[in-house]
Amino acid sequence: MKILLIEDEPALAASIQDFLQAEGYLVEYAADFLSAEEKVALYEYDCLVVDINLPGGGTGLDVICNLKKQHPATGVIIVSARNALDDRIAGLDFGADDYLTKPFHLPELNARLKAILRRRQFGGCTDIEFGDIKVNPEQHEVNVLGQALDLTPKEYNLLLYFLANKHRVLRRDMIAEHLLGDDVDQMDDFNFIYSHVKNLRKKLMGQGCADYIQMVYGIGYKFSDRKS
Amino acid sequence: MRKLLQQTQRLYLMAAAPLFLLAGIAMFFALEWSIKHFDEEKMHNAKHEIETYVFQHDSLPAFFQRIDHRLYASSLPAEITLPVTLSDTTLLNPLENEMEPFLQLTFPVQIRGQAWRVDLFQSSVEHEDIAGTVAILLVILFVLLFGVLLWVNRSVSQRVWEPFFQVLNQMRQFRLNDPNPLRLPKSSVVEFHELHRTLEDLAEKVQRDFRTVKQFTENASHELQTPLAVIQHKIDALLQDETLSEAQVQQLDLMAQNTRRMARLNQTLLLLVKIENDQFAARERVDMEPLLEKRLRWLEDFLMEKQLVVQTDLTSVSIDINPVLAETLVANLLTNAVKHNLTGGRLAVRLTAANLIISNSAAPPAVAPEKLTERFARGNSSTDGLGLGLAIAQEICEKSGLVLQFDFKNDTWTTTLHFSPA
Repeated sequence: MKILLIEDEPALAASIQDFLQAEGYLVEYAADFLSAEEKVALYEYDCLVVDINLPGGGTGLDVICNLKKQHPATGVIIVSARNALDDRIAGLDFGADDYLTKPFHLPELNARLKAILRRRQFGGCTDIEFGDIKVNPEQHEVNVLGQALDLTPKEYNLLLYFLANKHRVLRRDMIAEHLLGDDVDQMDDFNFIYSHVKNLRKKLMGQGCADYIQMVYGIGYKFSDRKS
Repeated sequence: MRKLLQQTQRLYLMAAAPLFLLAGIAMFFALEWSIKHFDEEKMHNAKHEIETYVFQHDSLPAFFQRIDHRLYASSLPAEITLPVTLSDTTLLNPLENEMEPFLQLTFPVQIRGQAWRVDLFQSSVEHEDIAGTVAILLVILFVLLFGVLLWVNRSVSQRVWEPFFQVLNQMRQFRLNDPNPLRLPKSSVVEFHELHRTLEDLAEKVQRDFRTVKQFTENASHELQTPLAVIQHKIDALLQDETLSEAQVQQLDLMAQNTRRMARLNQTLLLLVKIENDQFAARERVDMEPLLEKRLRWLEDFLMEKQLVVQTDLTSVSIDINPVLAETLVANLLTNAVKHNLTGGRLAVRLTAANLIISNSAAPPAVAPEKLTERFARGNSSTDGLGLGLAIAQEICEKSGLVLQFDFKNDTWTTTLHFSPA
């Protein structure tokens, strides 16, 4: 999977690039509007991660606009400052698939990226499989050992997040932010995550699924089939 | 506190009183001296008259015997030479039957070869009379002067000070974040002209400083975003190391939590600056009911976690407000009501055409309700809130013409949002 990261802050870009490369993506990087335009014109990517505010004469929105003329199938995630509602609306109008506000957690970007790539590459028909679990994202269906499993929207969302970030330690506030959005940073107490995880695990194991959800020293969880 | 006019009048009075006293004393002595001088002159004239009369008629005149003028003559032994002496004395006034002051002039005359001593008495003015006259005069003058002064001051000051009160009024309405500079009316009076110019300069400087501080906050917040994000990412990357001990993981988590807190502070300050800068100026009719319902649904997990008993009484009410600000306001108020609630507490939300009332169970606040909207004021130090939630709510209300009111009674915290100023 080839990703173009367009971000004017080199330190942040490097951090994102490291993460995505570790996740197995091929990442190219453009630091300003002109090099972004050039790369979009010359190469083809599976997805763009675009910061709206760019130096060099144009915004991320212009890049998306030009991209969509040449490669309408390429996925786009917009990255922008908080509360910039206009950017968000404009971005989605230009054909962006998703929107992230700064600062974001990398597993969040990962989850969004995977969802977009799935939709874009395979027309949404691909199932996610992990051990005993099979998820059909299009139908919002979960199967454990061939049997349908009934989950609440939050449990389902949680499971998808775990599946996108397998074998990673996910802190509770990251999970809370994934389930409830940016606004969750107003809250201090994320104990409710515990009950959602507990319920999800109970439902999975109730149907004979292996126990993939590991608690990490009370700070978060790891979804993995490897023994730690 | 006194008015300037009263102050000046008091000063006038304080300066004038001793002055009048001094003038009175001086007048008294001057008057006394000149009267005495006049009297003495009169006596010397009388002496001269008597001597002339004696010289012409060789006898004493008889016309000097009056109440205020008396003449006594007595023969003198020849060997005594009498000097001319002038002295003060008192004699009985038979009409009033009291002693009165007289001037006495004693001199010798020769009548028919015989030496006579002549005592000429003339009544002089009493000291008390002079003093009384002076005092009455001065009191009348004093009262007259102040009456006129008062009247002139009153009528003139109103006219003269009018521009001052105008400026005062304008200064009261002066707002730091007003993008327009302060413009005061032109004045032809030098003092007011200077005052206006100084105030204008001052206002401009203050506004400029305020803008600079805001700009700084905005830039600083913006610049902090990247390093904070990178730190967050790197802590997360470190946490993936499976060889970490539990203590190390806990420490990394603590770092992550504090970085998160810093990032949140940064976001909040940035939002505050944006609101202050009127970046959310566009208003439209926003129905508050769905906003509240949506936020309450969003809070579901936290409501359950705290086992709160929620009561809602909502009606459809639209107000003129920026939609982003409306959402932020509702989010802040409801979040606060949940965050500072007690486990198993109560949360009541009531929306009427006039106001939105959110009440929740709470421990008594450590800070006075009116202080809570100040930045970094925390009602309760045990929570790790930033203390900016209500400051933002207050700022939004100010920008949107809403009024926020807090009250704590019977273990219940009540926040009332009035849709139109009372």
